[in-house]
Amino acid sequence: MRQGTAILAILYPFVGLAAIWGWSDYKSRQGTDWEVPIEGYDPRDLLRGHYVEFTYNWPGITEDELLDATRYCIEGTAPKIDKVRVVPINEDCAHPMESDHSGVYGISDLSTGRLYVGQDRARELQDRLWDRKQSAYVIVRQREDGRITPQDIIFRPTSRDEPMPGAGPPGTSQNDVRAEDSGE
Amino acid sequence: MGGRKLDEWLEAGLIDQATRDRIEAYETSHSRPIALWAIIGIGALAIGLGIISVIAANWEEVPALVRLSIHFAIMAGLGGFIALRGERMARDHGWWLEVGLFILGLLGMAFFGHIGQVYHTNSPLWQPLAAWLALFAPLLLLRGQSWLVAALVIGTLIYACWDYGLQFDSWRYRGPTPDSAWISAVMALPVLGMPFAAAMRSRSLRPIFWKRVEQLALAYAVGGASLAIIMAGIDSTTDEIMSLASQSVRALMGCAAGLMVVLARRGVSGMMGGAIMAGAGASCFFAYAVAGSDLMGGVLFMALWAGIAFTSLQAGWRGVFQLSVAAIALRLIILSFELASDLLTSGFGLILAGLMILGVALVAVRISREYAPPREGDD
Repeated sequence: MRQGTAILAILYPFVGLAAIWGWSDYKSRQGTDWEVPIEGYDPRDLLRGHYVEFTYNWPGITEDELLDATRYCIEGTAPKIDKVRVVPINEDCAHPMESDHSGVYGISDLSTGRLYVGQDRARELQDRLWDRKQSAYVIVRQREDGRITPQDIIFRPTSRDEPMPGAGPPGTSQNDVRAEDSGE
Repeated sequence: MGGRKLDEWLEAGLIDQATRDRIEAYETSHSRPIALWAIIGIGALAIGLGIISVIAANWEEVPALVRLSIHFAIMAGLGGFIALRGERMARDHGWWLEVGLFILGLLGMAFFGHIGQVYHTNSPLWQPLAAWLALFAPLLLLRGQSWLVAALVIGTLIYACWDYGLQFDSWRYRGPTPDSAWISAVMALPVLGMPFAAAMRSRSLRPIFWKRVEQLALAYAVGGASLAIIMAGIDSTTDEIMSLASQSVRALMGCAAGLMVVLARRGVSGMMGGAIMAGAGASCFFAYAVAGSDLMGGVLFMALWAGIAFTSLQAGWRGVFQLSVAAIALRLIILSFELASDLLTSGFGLILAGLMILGVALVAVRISREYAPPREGDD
């Protein structure tokens, strides 16, 4: 084997891996962030290793529609979602969302999600998810190709315990209404 | 080695006293402190496990960029070492190079998973595997020494092709599905590794490596054909994966690969290897014709393996011959149960079935002992 070929053969996978790394990093920064109301999935299952598992409460869409369709459109002004509806493949949509059945949750990938966090944070999130005084939201990043990636989980006081919406931080009242709309 | 065996041999007159002393002296000077090694090994293992669990416990605490950089640096270190010392290692310590390449390959594969975890990317498994093959197969095929690297490359190829094909399973996939003939062609792709390896074998300085690649691809073809025949025999399924188009594509690819092997590697061995490959392909086509019939499925299965037994006799492959006799015997036993399952409901029938199993096994053992080619011809 010639020296040049040998060097090339060993450099090539590293160049490729570095390119894939860079591309993944670039892609992870693209997209729009939305807040989606969530609830804990199952008290026994919630904390599994270093991630938190949750169920999405997409506004305006039923569980069956989430399992049957593959393409959806998010409507609203980021980060506030007004509603999600099923759209055909070829219909234009400013913020498309596509189901990806290849993941760990198969066809339930838009019903159930997981967020990887450190062990301590996972425990804290688990406790707060079961605190009824707070509503949980996952911030998902929606890319133009329809891919949804959970970024973080945040909490807001629930409206039932706080009848005066004006008392909360800005945006609280809107979010609380949304949480109720989604059938909590 | 214990001295007791030597004393026995000495008493039996197999060796004389001088030989016995020489063997003992040799064994003493070459003895390996296995117990000490075992303790050192256990200690190293404990330290390694400890390091892994410390890293795992704080995994999310380590910034993603640092984690990925360390992973990349470890791979780069190993890659640099192989680049600098590879030639010499191939000459003096072939196995070290082989293990180094294998670990580098696995680290590269894990890097895809690592990126996926850090950036929450999520894609069908065949995609990272295909990307890994595109990036690492050239290096592994250029440097591989033996079956470890050959199995890594061919195994990954087979897994990626199956993962691609099986993702269209109706129970989890909703959306446009490609033609079943296309899916079958992709899933049969690894068989082309055989003619490729056959062509490289005569040109390369590492004929052993290419022989292993050839064998793995052929084993995939024969295993796949056997599976197709068994599935066709179970029921005349209307599944797309067993359709006429799918089976024809498999037959075509097998026959083409077989022909290319014959052309690429002249001689009895190449001719017979190609014949088995073509036969495996062709039997996929016949599997479509016999679909739904226990008896014909069994006959086809045995015909394929009888063909393999015949070709291995011609080529002098002892192991392959014995394997085919075993496969035929096993199928014969299963077939007898399929055809006369009511035998098992009576005591007399059970005795009869037991006798038949013994008979088939005895005949199989006799045939594989007496007619198998001598060990020297093993290829």
